[in-house]
Amino acid sequence: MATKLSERLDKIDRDILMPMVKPGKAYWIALGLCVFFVLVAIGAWIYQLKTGLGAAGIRHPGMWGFYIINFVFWVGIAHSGTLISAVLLLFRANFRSAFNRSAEAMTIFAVMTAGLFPIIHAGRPWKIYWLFPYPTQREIWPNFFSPLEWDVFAVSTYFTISLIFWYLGMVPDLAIARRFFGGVRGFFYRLFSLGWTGTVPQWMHYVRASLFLAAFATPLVASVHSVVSFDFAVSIVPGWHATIFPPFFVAGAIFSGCAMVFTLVIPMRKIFKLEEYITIDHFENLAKLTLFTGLIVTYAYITEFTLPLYGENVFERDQFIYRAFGDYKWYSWAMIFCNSVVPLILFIKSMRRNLLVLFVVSIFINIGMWLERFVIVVISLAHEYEPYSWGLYHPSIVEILITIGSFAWFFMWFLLFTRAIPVVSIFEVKEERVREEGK
Amino acid sequence: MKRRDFIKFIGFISGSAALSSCTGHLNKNHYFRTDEIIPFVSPPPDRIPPDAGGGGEGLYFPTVCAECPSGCPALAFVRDKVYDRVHGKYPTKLEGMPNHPITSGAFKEPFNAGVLCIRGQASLYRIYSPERYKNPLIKDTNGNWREITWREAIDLVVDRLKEAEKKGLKSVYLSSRTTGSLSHLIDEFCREAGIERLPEFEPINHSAVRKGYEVLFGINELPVYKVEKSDFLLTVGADILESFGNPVYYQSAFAKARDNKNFKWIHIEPHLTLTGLNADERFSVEPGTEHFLLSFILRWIVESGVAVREVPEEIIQYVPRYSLWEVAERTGIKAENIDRLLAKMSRARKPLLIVGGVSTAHDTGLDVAVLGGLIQWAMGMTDDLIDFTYSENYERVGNFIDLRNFMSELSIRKIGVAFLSKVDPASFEGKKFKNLLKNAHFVVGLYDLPNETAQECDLILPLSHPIESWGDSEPRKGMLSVYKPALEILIPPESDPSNNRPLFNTLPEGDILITILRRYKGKSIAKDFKEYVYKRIERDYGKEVADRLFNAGPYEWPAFNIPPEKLPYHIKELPKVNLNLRTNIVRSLIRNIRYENEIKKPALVLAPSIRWYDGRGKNNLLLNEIPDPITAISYGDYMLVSEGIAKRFRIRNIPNKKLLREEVVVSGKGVNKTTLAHIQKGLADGIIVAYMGTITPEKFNVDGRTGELIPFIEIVSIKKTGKVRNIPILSGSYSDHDRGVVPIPYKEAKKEHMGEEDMHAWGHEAPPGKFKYPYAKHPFAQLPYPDHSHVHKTYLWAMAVDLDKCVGCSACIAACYIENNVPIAGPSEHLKGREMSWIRIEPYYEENGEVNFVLMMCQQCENATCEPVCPAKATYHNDEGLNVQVWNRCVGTRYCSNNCPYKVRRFNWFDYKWESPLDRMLNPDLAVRGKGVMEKCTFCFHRIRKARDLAKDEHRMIKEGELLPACAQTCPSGAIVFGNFLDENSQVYKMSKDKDSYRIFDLLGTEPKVYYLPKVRRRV
Repeated sequence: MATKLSERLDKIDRDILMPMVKPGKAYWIALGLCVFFVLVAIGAWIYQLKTGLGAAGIRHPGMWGFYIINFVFWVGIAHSGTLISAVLLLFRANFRSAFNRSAEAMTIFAVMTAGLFPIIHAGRPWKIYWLFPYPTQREIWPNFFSPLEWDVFAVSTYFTISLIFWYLGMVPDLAIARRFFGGVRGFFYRLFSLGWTGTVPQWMHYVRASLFLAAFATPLVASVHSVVSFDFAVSIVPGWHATIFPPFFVAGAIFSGCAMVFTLVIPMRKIFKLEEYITIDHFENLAKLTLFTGLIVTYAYITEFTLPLYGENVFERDQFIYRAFGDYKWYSWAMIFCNSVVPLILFIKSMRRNLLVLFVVSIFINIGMWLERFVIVVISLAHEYEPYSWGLYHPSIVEILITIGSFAWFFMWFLLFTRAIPVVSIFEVKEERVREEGK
Repeated sequence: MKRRDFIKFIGFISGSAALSSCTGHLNKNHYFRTDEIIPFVSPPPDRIPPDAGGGGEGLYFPTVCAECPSGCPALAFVRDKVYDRVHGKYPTKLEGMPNHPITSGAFKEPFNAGVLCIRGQASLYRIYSPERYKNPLIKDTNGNWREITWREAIDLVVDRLKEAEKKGLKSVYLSSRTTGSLSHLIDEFCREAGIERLPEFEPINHSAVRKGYEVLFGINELPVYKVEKSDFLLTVGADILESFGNPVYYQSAFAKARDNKNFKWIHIEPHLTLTGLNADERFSVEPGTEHFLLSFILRWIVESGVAVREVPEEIIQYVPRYSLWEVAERTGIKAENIDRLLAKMSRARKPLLIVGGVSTAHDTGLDVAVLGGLIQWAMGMTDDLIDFTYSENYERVGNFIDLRNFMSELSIRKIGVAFLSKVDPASFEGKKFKNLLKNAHFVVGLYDLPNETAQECDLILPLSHPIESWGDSEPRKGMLSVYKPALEILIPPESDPSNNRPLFNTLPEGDILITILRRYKGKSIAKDFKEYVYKRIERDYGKEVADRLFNAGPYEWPAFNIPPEKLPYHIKELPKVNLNLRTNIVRSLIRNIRYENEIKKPALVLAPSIRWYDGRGKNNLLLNEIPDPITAISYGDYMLVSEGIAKRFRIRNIPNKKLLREEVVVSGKGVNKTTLAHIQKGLADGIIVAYMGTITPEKFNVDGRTGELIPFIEIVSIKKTGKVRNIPILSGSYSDHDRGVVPIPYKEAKKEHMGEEDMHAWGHEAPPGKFKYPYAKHPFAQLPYPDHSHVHKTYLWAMAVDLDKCVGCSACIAACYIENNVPIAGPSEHLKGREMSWIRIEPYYEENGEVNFVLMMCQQCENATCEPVCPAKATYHNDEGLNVQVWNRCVGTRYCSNNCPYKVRRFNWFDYKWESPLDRMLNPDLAVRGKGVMEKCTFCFHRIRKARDLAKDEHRMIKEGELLPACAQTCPSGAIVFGNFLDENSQVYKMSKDKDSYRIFDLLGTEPKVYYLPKVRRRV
């Protein structure tokens, strides 16, 4: 190494902070598109508010549709962020340092997206605050028996913890950014870096706080999506009422979250030239995690299908026969293809190390996991107990626009994030680098 | 400021504020002044205390149902409401007349209410229809309608009458079926004005049956068949649950007969009707061959000695000797079935045969009617089961020959003024009639709603509905009932009811005729129709009756158990009609019967339906919104196609596209119609059924002897257009897939649901009784729900539905729509499955084409699955066992609906609108739900509350028989029983303990509070 350590570390600062300085033309086009679709979705939502939920395609008996699918999908996406940062921190898995910042950002934005959907979905969104237990003169409380009420707490807690954890993790980096920017931006970096100077006592407190928050956030990884799965598992709807749902949902969430990390980080790494910091080894490790959770999901599918087939419950049995061979059979088979077949390619080491393959697989998984929620929500509702009330759900243009808008909303925040906050945790990269060199 | 000044000042301010609040807002444009203080301690007569914040009262006014020609006496529940600052009496619900022989239903003591059919319940949508004629209209030379005043309109009619008189042209009066004083008045009007009164026109006129009795006994009348007294019913073509005679009466009578466990019913028909689907056994007969069967039966009863009367040999000699096999071959009914039928007929204590409907509407229709009548006479049915004394009053009703005579008269010579009153011949005779009508000098139409014929008139005189007018009706001979205005807009001063006006600028038919006559001939036969009715009743029934009927009513809620002497009807003692067989005439007819069959298959049958009757229900919004019970299809035109035809013409129901049906062009003699083909299980091969109102044949045949419309149209070809279209089929499946919605009779129980394997699966022996419930609750099942039965201390509301009596007539659905302000969703929303009905009839077909109707509404589960999942606690369990839905609290997550195994919850997808004046029929007892909230059946919670209040005033509990939800009240079968489950003497409790009673999806442990008794097919 020709250069001095301090110079090399400065290069890390510059490299990682570079995207925050000079966004290219592509950035503005992407951001513009996102904002456009968000505005379109807002327009669609206003239309839906005005006409009533009839504007959406949800109907009897498919009372839940795209909105709930999106809610579960985005909560699932949110998962891997916490997993990567908190759980891997506890397990001292070093490859996390490449992903944790963007994965956490993804968590925040995914929860922000997910949180919109219950509101959009509600018949009377203007009364949604009734779901919060606030003291009123009427002394009416929300129903704490309802899984939807649990969701309110689970998701809001999750959002809070994730936000704090994310913010805490970026304080040293904000302090670095503070050095590079002046003006209004510099003011905010100074403000949010909370006077961080990097003294030993500060680091000691910092590490302790990170560990504490990681420990605090870890159970949430299991709890949030378990609670979301209770929305289904607690009901008596055939196809929903299954004890396997909590672990199945958690595994599925991590699976989809990892895939979304690939989808986001692979282009980001390329565009922002972060190859040096986010290495193929990192990707390979994450690919292993993806494969593992994918296998859990596949196992869950097998269990889900086979148990009713030899069970006595005709409603459950019919439900799964209907899933495989009924009106929506192509959705089911597409889901199995995307989630259970495509990821098997990751067993091959060269494929795990091929970014193009990883990217394509991640897209398949994203689609597959979205379809999984479609299969669970829509198909189960279409074929419940009472034969007279069987019916099909088809989304309306409003739902499709809002779904597109939700992706645009998510990517919009992510694009803004790449401009405002170091996309890779600088201090952790440095830490890793120093540790490596010290060996 | 000093203290005293301050107090003075405050006093001045508050005093002036109080004073200013007293001054009313006086708007010259409105009749109502807000400063008019009306004391309701002793309200003016006929005035209803206004609704104040949901606690208001209503009163029942006597009225008559005018939806179909049956003319059932009814009670209108009338509320005082203010629209445009004007008070009005607005009926919000119709009920049948309690205790009346026609509409008393099949309730069991202590229940005693009045019932109406689906059309009767839905008729409020006709009364408040925005389509109604609101002013007299004149057609100008361009064919556009122009509003004129009544004075102008009457002047015009009088001028034209005078003109016609001058020119020596004949004027005619053609009306639909009228009874009572109106019929008398039309007679008098025509006599005085020199107008010819044509026989009344009704498409369903039972003229073959009437003609048959005329041949036999010289009585051209439709008698009343006392089904309830019989123990074996054989109906040949007579669709007694749809259009034959008075369906409300027949449905009640059927339900009463059903109480006799030995009662059996065989229905024979060429096509498929709701009536046939409800019979114990239904045999399809080759159309036009009924006379083979009946002559065989006649000969058999005479020869086997089953007949109690001796049929004269001179008649019987002409009845051919067909063998059983020959008859079986000709009629297409299996010989063993005919054999069983005859055996049953001979064994039965009180057998009853009814012929009619499509079986008497063809070239041999009269023969069928006469043979049927002979059997009835020979078997002694005419002695006690067939009532000619209080017959259906159809004497004045003409038939299609009368109509065609009128048409040929129109084509030959000029008619002066033609009055058409509430008739719609154009929907049958089509263009031909419309063109001929132009030959009339001036056509005056008396209509309430536009129809095809009304469009052709020169002048429209808008009619008030009977609910807005005084009048009387005699649906059966000697059964008089008086109705008075129930819908009125009250114009001050209150003391003068003559100021009151109907909903629109309309007049009752009687008043129009009296006015025309006064102006035309200068003769005043009465001040108004009310006076005319009074005088007529005084003349025919005596002053005492007239006074009593005119002063009867209004009645307070709930109008149950009103003694007959207080009700506005009177039944005259009539001498029993004696029947004498006219042997000679009968002989000549029997001798000339041609034993041939003219009807070729494939044939299209133009059939009446439970919803649209002869097609007139098509312009009633609610009658389109409620699905047809046979197909569960609501809106749209379609034809029922037999499975055989479907196979032959390769028509299929597209798999996996449940709402799509193939479009076909059905062409035949006089028919060329593009429609959708719905393959109907159980429909006889070679038959296509089209409901009246969906097609207007260009040409159809009329039976020359009886004047019945021959509804069979030979089909030349059925071509697929290759297109498929969506049609709102509200049923997701026509089979219950053995899920236990319909229990499986043991005899036919499938193997997989029987035997050891089954017992092993459920760990207990098969439940006692005749029926098998594949998914009954395990008796030892431990459910994770806490027992909260202890909270129900006084009431536990429950319902029992006797599916053995339920015929799927859907009257309950219409009643529920009206009672609970359930919105009309419309066809496009129906395609999306967004119908709003709180109660529904689910047809579940067996493999053999038999259908089980299941009535489905909120089951008010004790362990309701909807309750725990609502995050806002908008649905909860109350201490009377009801699963309550608080609309105001609902945020609309719709989780409750997902979690409801019965799928009875409805979501308000939009802010549904009731186009004015439909909004005036809204029930003020409960809110109109806004968008975004869930709603469902609450066992008519508002009625429970009212009953509770009434009981509380008297310091007692609600008694059995004091309270009925809207569906139960109007069920002509009495199939829906409602009551307090904690009262072990209540009917609902007893029914729930019946050995056959079951609950749907009991396995789930939801503990529903609706108990069902299964349909029992009584094999003959």
